Amino acid sequence: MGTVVSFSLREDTTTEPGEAQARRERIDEGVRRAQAKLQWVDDVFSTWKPDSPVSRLRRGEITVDEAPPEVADVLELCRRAREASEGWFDAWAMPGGVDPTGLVKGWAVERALDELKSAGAPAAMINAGGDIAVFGQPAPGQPWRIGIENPLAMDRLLLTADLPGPGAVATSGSYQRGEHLVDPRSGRPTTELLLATVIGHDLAYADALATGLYTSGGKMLERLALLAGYHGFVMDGRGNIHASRGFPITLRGAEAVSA
Amino acid sequence: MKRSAIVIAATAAGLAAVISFKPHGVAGGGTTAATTAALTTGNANVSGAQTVTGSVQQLNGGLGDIQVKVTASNGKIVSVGMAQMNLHGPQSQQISNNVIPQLEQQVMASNGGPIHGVSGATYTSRAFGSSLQAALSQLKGGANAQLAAAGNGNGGLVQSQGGHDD
Repeated sequence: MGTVVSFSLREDTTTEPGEAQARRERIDEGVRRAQAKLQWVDDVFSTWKPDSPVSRLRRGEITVDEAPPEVADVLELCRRAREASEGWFDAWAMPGGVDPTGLVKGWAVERALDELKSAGAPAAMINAGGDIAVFGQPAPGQPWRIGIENPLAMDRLLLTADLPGPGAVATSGSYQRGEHLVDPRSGRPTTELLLATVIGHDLAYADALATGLYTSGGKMLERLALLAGYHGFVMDGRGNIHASRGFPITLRGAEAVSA
Repeated sequence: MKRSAIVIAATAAGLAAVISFKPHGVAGGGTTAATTAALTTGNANVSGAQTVTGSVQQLNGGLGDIQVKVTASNGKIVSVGMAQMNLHGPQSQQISNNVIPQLEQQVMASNGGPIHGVSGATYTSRAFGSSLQAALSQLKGGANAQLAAAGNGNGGLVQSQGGHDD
């Protein structure tokens, strides 16, 4: 993926040192498994590695049935995300053949987070290049406070969003890597918005929906309001913020949040 | 009583580092994060501070190379910056003005400040992560630094070395 992935895990310590040590070792093993999972996903799904199963699938050298079964799972999620986004996220509209990249990073992070859960971590956050998934609470009773970076001033945050429990935050924009998102309806790069963020239950969908919301130029906000468990906002080219109707997450720092 | 600490691992292309620190607002937790000194200056005048530099890492696509510098004190990163940065090509300005500050911001944000994570557009940052990893690994066993690093051969997990006792 070529992206920095950071893991934050809450560690509850007790006065019993033996137990604390055992717990620490379990969680360390969980982090190792989570990292191995991310590496495995990259090996299978990378469109940059010419020998990855997905690259071979794109060239028509293998069928979906010949790829690892997770490829079919991810493509099914891509189908659902295409439907949920009314076509604004479309893994089949990409140049060079089917490309699940817009969803697979979020999916990989959720799988890595599963490993941390299994290892007994009471709470954890994974941030993969700005796409974030969390479970638990960073401290008892405390929400995860996620900053959304400001595309107009890189040294300041645009606003912060509080996640009281499990959830995901994904942001799309063109300001970091140049124009890298393609409008599936016209095939041209999109540039209208500075930023699109989706907050929801699962980072696989949030990642795909943020891509769709961005490519839609904000038109997808109305659709997003109809999707259970997902909400979003965009920053337009003039720096105004528009949120989906009923946006329930506590936002701090936003000067104007409109429906 | 029960206490909580946050452990952070940063990984890029199989490289990882773990740092541990106390979260804010935990009853009984005596530490408040000594957050952001100026992000781009690594020589903070902090008592017991230790400054280390990472390895020089090539950016993908021949865009140049960078070397990360980290200053830590009492188990916390007090600043992250560039020991050197040699960029060329049309994207140099974007990298130096946008990408690098955002990566620095992410490291600092993960360091126990009031923000737990920063969401933003994706970036390519393998070189930054690798150099950061190399810098953090030098802090192992440092005077006051509880930033820990113990690579397991092929760039695997780096483990933290025990919680804080304050």
